[in-house]
Amino acid sequence: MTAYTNEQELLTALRRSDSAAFRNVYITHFNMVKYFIVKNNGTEEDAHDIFQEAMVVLFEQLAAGKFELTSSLKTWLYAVCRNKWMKQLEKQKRNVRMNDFEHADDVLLQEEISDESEKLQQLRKSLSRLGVGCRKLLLLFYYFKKTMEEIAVDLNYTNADNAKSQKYKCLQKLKTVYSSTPE
Amino acid sequence: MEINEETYRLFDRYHAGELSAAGRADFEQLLLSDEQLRNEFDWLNLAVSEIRMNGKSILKKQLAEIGAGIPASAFEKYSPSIKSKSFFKKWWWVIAVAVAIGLAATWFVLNRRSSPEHEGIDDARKDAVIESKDVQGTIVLKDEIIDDDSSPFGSPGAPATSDTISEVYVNSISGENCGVFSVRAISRSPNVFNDAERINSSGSQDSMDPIYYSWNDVSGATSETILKVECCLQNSHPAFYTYANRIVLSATYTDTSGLRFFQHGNELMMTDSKPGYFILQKGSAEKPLVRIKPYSVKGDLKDTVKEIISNKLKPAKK
Repeated sequence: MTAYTNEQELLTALRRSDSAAFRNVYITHFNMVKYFIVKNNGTEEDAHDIFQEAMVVLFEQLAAGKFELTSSLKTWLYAVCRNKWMKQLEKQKRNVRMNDFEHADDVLLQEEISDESEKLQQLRKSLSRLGVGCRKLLLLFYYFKKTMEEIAVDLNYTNADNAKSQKYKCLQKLKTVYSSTPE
Repeated sequence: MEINEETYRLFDRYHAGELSAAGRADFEQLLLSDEQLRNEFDWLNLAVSEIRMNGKSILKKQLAEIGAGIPASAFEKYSPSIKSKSFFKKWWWVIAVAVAIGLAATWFVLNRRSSPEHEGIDDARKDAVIESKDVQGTIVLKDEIIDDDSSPFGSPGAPATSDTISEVYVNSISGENCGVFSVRAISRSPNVFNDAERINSSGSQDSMDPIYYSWNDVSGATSETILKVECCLQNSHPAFYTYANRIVLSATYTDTSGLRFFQHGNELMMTDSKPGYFILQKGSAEKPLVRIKPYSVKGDLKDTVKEIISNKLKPAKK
């Protein structure tokens, strides 16, 4: 396991989406979460899901520059996992209660959201049809929040401007594929 | 507005919050006025939203692979803190309860065995009582003390019947009924109660209320009581043995019958004229009575003695 001298160093590595850093966090803190979830009507599988979701939140906050560590990472992870698991338990309870009712309202709701989800569905298909290079570039920029300089290095572009132009081209390509993808 | 790479860079700068307040306001105004720009911006937002969803699922998949790739033994290394915490949580109460029970039991045992708290008493008769050689001798000494004008009992301020003791507590056992009596104004005439009040009792009555015996002083009730006690002894009455090692009775009435009575008890309790009382314990053959220091009494004597007696004479569970 890769050793980090302090949590800040670990967080920096996580921000880079360094898999060794994720592994480190996983090994160090998963058992704590597993213990809590198993003790609270969950399974080990639930614990993995919740832990991974918390790691995603951690990464997204780090990537967006919104992460502020006021306590230890362990405490933060425990609090996030606990909240997520409590919400899930509450949701499960609600679902059980909802099963007792007619689902007439669901149909209306479904109609309202179907238009948006169809567009997203179409976009998902378009994205999968995009070349690997373009998909990777867009993901690195929009999700992993890498800078154009970092992307240029990662994807072997000559420079950041070149990567920027490439990103524009990829978006145009996605748009074209999207327009031509049947609904 | 023509849509080109620059437009997309503007979108990115807007999303990244890189525009100034004025630049942001201008951009938003432009979005309202330019439909083509707005459509392009909406499309990009939708695309970015899907890209992010895609990124999230990719990251989660990566994390799942990382998790799956970690051997269980690697997690074990980080289990102890959790295990110890759970151990602590689970066993802390057990340990705490055990300690509390232990302390309570120790306190109970020590409290039963320990001598009363000694705070000293101004008692001129101390040596005389301690050096008594037998019960009878003690009674004689006690009588002498009562006659002694310099003693608290014989002082001019004492009741008109100077041969009375202000208060004596007698433990009387009659049949199944065990009672502790506060006896006032006891005459030096043998076996006479002039006034008695039962202050503690337990068990059920079998034949006659001990108070009845007490009140019937002129008919030799004390002798009857003692005889009854002897009867209890002979019959190994459970009520008697509940109290046997803590018998408290007045030495005033321990004549020959009382002597036998006392042979089965360990304590002889006598009140003092001053607030307080002392206890004589059965000692060795050479020194049958050993005086242990008296309790000091705060507040009402009777209440204090009641409290002491109720603690000391608490019936044992069968």
